[in-house]
Amino acid sequence: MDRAAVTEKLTGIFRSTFDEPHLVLTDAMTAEDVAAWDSLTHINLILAVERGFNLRFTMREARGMRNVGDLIALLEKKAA
Amino acid sequence: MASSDPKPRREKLPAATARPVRTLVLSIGLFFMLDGALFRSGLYAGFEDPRPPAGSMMSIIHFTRATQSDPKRDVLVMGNSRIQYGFGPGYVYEAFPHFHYQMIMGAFPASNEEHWYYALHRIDPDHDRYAAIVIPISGYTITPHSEDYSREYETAQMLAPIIPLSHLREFLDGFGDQNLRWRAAMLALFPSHNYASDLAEFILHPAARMDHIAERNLVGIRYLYNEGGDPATMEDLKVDPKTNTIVRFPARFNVLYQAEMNKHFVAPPAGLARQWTERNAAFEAKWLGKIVSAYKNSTTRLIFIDMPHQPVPIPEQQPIPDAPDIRGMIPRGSNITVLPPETFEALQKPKYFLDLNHMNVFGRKAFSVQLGQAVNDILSARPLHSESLRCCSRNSGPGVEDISTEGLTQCLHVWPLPAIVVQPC
Amino acid sequence: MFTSLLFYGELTLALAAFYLLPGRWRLAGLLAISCAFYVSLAPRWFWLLAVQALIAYAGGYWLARARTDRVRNLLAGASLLPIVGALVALKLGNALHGLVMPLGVSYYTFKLISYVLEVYWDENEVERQPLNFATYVAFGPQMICGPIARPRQFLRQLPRLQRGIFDSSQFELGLFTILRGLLLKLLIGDRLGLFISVVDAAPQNYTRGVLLTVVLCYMVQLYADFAGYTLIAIGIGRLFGIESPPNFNAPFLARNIQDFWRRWHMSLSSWVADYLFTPLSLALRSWGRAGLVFSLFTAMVVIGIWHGLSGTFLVFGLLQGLFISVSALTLPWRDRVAKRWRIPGLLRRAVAVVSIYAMMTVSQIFWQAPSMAAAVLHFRLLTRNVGNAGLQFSDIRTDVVDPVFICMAIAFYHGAGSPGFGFVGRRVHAVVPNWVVGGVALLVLSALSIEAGSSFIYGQF
Repeated sequence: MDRAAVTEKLTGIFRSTFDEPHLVLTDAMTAEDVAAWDSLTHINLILAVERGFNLRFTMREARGMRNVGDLIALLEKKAA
Repeated sequence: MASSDPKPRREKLPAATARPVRTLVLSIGLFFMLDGALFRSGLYAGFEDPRPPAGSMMSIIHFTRATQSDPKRDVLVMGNSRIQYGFGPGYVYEAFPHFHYQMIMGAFPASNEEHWYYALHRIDPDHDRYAAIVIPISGYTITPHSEDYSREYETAQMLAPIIPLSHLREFLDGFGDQNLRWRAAMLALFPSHNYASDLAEFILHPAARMDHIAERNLVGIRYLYNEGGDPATMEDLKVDPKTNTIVRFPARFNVLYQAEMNKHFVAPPAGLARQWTERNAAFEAKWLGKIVSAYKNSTTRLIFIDMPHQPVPIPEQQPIPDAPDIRGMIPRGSNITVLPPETFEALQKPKYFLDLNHMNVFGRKAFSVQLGQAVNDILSARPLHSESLRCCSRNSGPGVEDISTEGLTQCLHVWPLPAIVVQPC
Repeated sequence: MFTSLLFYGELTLALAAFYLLPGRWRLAGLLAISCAFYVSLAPRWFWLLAVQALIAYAGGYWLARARTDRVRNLLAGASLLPIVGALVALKLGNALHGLVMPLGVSYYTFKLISYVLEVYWDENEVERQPLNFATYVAFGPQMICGPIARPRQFLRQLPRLQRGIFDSSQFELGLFTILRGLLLKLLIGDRLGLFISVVDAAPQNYTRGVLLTVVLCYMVQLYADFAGYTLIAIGIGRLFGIESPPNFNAPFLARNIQDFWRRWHMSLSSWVADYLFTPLSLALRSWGRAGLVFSLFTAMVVIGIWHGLSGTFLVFGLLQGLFISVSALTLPWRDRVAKRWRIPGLLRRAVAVVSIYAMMTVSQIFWQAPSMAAAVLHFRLLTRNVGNAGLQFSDIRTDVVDPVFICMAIAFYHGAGSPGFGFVGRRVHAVVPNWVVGGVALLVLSALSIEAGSSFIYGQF
């Protein structure tokens, strides 16, 4: 999957998980930038991404991501 | 992703040209300046009439100093709340219309000889303001009470505002406990710290306080005459003579108060009683000695009296068998008079007291008249004319032991300043 | 400690010594000052701090060099076991035998655990410089009551320190932060604490009204006390050129109880969120809702028993687990209902503020109580129906009771972020020089702080 496709799919997942229909993803985006995104809803996000991309993150991967850019990069690698 | 907590409000840093050390030094300097100007100077106390413990001494000192002093006629009556409740100069003038001397109230609540020593330093620094100073001792024989006067924090709180800095070391050395000594030093060095509860009250109830101040200013010197008094008595108190416990309390005392009273009806165990007696004796000897030596070469006469201090014998205050007597501790001198303990003994009765320590209005009147008489007898040979006194007593002599409460009630009234109105029979 | 004049005298000397050192010696100087501070307060336990720091340092060092997951897991386990084990053993000793906890052990242990885990997850987080690492662990101002600093947040400030850069505005900010903390703790926290201790000495003697007021005081008093103390700690850190993470962010204005915990004792709750809740909930994500609830309960129970291994703290944790689980699970539904019924945001917030305060007060009755029996007694006394029998407000010493309501209001106002104060403050700052503000504030502090031997709750953990 190329970067653009990943980003598009991920945007859809973000929008539905956090109920923000107009959310636009940026590489530097973190939980601080999205109102509904906190340590509790983070799990929902992880699950939604795993389901959406049909993969499973390891604990290290899940913790290692610092921002959306990292997530996109990781997904590019795993969903390849 | 790292934890997703909302960023807290960014604090605004002051301009990068900040000079923090200068700010710190100037702040501290300003603080000491304001502290000294407002509190150490007595300005706050003089204006605001603070509540005890800090304020009581300052504001009373302020008043006593404000009176015009006549060293030939002024008699300062020191003491604590027992005098505040038990003495009213107005009653002396009422009983003796041509009383020569001016009796001035100089009592501070919850005070003792140590407070009086320092207060006198402030009120009468050259030891020449008064013809006489009355010093009331609550029982010449040393009692084994548990309060360690030299360790009480209240002492620090009351005295810190008035301790001259030159006496600070001596004052601090009086505290045995290091922690207490440190806290006392804090109070003495930062006078504003003494007024915490008072300021808080002022801020919370400004209107009531301003009223009180206005009233105080209006009453002003009339405080020194201590009119009125509480008519309640301790006649309803019943003590079982066998167990020496209280079996009936006057109705007005709630459970908390009753518990407090019961505490005073437990005599200290023998070992502690001896220890406490010795400690208290040392305290009295020290401070009475200091007062006497301060007035050694003065024309002021020091009059020591055994003040009525209990309506019934209170177990906590009964001296142990061979307890020392202050009469042995007071250095002799040509200006020292020690009145015999029997002088006021007759007033130690339930009908003259409103609680275990303080006299009611009847006690006040009786004691004041007697004290006035005694002072007059000591200082001059002039006889006293007691028109209204004759009216109020069944005896024709100066003794007032058998006055009925109804009789006294008839004699009570508030008289205006400065004219003295005598109620006709 | 932070409220004693003697401490500030010693602090002045320490600062003078610190700033007299040339830049490259300052880090060592800070470590020396921190160690001296620790030894002066708890000489018997300094060895534990040193040993645990050594274990964590070694663990991190080897973790960064590990090549396989198996080795990494072993090293993490080998480092964390003694560190966590020591804390648990000490807490047990405290609960069962009344052992006094070594100074700051709960705080520095959590710092060490976070370091090991950070390196375990990302070897770039390692700190190889022993001086830097030791200063992170032993940093004096954070030893008494936190905040619990994260390795990266602290360590990245050290190079600046070593270059001898002096940020005068940070220093001055530090002075005023300390002043703010002192005002909050001494003027508000101590007064409320006095009222609470007077009534709680014999709660059965008081009317329901008085008792209810006391119970409602718990949260604001703890806030004034703890936030005040934390501000002082943060301020002192600033004097040495170190920023600490915040511990409070207008907690009383939280939108819901999850939000509350992101604003209250933030360094602890974010620690638990990052190092316990997130990994646990990730691991259990296949359990769905049950996994989430289990993780929440675990996290809140840990927060509870971090304070002490006792029944009351456990109940506190369980109650918080319950509140937060219910809130987290129903939040989407509540949001939908609010949207559908067009409930004004302000109303929703008001309801949130009141209900959060109520929930926290209920669990606080347990947190505050010296024993389960005492906690239960409070509930029983609050619900019994004996009319007005018992001591009223008028029976309590006026200087204790009078300031209570205004102090509660001020503490709540401060805990709600002091809305509007910033505006006034900026106006004042534009006109009045800082030193005048400082001098007057010192006078207010001296003139209004009560003398009743002030104690500090969070110093015992």
